[in-house]
Amino acid sequence: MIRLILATLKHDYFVKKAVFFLKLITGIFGLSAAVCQSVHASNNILLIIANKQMTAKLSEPISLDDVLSFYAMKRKLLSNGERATLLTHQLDSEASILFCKHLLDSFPYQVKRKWDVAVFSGRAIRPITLDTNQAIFTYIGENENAIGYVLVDSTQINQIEENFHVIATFN
Amino acid sequence: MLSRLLISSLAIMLCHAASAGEKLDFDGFVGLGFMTESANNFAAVDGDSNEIVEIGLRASYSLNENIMFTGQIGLRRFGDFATEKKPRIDYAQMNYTTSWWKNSEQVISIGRVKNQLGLYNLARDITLSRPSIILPQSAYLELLRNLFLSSDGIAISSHSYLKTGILSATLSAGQIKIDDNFNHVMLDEFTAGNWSERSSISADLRYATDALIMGVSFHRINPQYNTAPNDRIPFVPIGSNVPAINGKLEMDSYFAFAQYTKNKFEFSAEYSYREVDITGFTPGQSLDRSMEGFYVQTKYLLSTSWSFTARYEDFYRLAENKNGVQTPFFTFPDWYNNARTVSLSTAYNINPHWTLMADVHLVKGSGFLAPFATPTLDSTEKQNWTLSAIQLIYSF
Repeated sequence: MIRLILATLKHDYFVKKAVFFLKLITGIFGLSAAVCQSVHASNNILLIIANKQMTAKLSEPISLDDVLSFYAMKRKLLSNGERATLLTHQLDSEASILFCKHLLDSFPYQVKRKWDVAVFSGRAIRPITLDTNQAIFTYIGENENAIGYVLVDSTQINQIEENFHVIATFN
Repeated sequence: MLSRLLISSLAIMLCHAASAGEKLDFDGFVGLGFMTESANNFAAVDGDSNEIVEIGLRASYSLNENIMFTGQIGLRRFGDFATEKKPRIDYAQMNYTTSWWKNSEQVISIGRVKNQLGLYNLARDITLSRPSIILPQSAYLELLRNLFLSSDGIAISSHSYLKTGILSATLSAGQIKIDDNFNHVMLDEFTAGNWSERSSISADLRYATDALIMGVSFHRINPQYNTAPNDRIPFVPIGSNVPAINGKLEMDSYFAFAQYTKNKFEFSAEYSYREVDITGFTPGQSLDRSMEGFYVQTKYLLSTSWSFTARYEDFYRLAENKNGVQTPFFTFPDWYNNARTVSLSTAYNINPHWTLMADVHLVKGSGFLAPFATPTLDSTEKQNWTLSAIQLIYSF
């Protein structure tokens, strides 16, 4: 009986230690979280675009589901057997947050974790990160297998449609 | 030999690719931390705390649309039983990706190839991909980590893109890499023999939708131990070290797993079953046992960058005798053969490069502690004990 009480007390001691430890961690994180800025979706339009020549190369038109499979690292090849090249903005950019949240149903860091698993397991290549829309336009314009997303003003859409293959549009 | 060839090839390819621009890809991570325990020997045999160092440097080179060379060098210091004395090649492989039929992809990997087993084995060496610093030991025994992580050989995987999800099958065959820690983990510290017959095979079948992953995995190894002069091994009924004889470990591992993601929640469950035959090692000893474990886990995303994971798990070193009793004259406590763990973990992504993780594990029993073959006083100090860890990770 005494052993049981002692064991219980010791276990309680460890539980208390654990609770203290958690409170400490929670406090640190809470402070950090409080200063984080929330991200507000704007009225800009999110476009998923590819090289204008891609459609002609493929046996089947590329669909939104295909694109999402690429970004989820579930597949790598286009329908013609060539590897798709994926482009992203910085993960904490508004474009990435909208893309991940509304299309991949995940936060950017969840998506990054999936990429980490695939990349560090030797099974995939990480998407190429570019800082600006212009950089993404330029890269896609020069690479036939490139796919990317951009957050643009609605007045720019016509011009983009002239120069790129627009796979999907989201308000 | 094969892995050396592949590793050499990879190094040559990477040198050749030095000016190849975007075809050459580098990534890496450095995780530094600390773990402490209230008793027993998960973190340290002498003392109750230890450093955590996990470093990985990965490079890949795409030769063309279908062929990619990739490899990773890692260094890991993770307690007395999992500290590597020198950097280790986690994997070094050539991947050939193709599509043999419509709506499918096949990948053939040759070299040191990672084993796809369960939910986390494929990426267990990558700190950022784990739900906690210390993985659920009911399925991912730390003391057997390197036997399961990768093998030198070939792996073939096929992914079929169905209307409702993706059906994937992976088969691999090769030889396991047995490192310096394995003697210590298996047989305690007074052995210096070597291991032969290192063949391993593994198979994995899984189905994944956007929200659900479910599947089964199998892994088989049967390494044979060849003694060195003056080898001594703890002998259970006597409780002291006796001269070792040659021995063989045969282990078949089965995993069944599921993971469901809905909004901010991720629910995971995994069951593992191991059939273990131990022959030899000590005179007159032959063990035929089954080990069993399961865990259920919930992960909750508190914000875009902050997550919590809660987990409950049970592990039985003797699946047929879950109260742990082995023989009437067994000299160690019954709870040596079991472990029940409740744990809470958190991960905070400070920015895209920095992540802070912390774990607390409340454990009852010492079923998953080393050495594997027999208990020691170090692994049976206390039945109720706490294991905590904190780690700061930088990835690039």
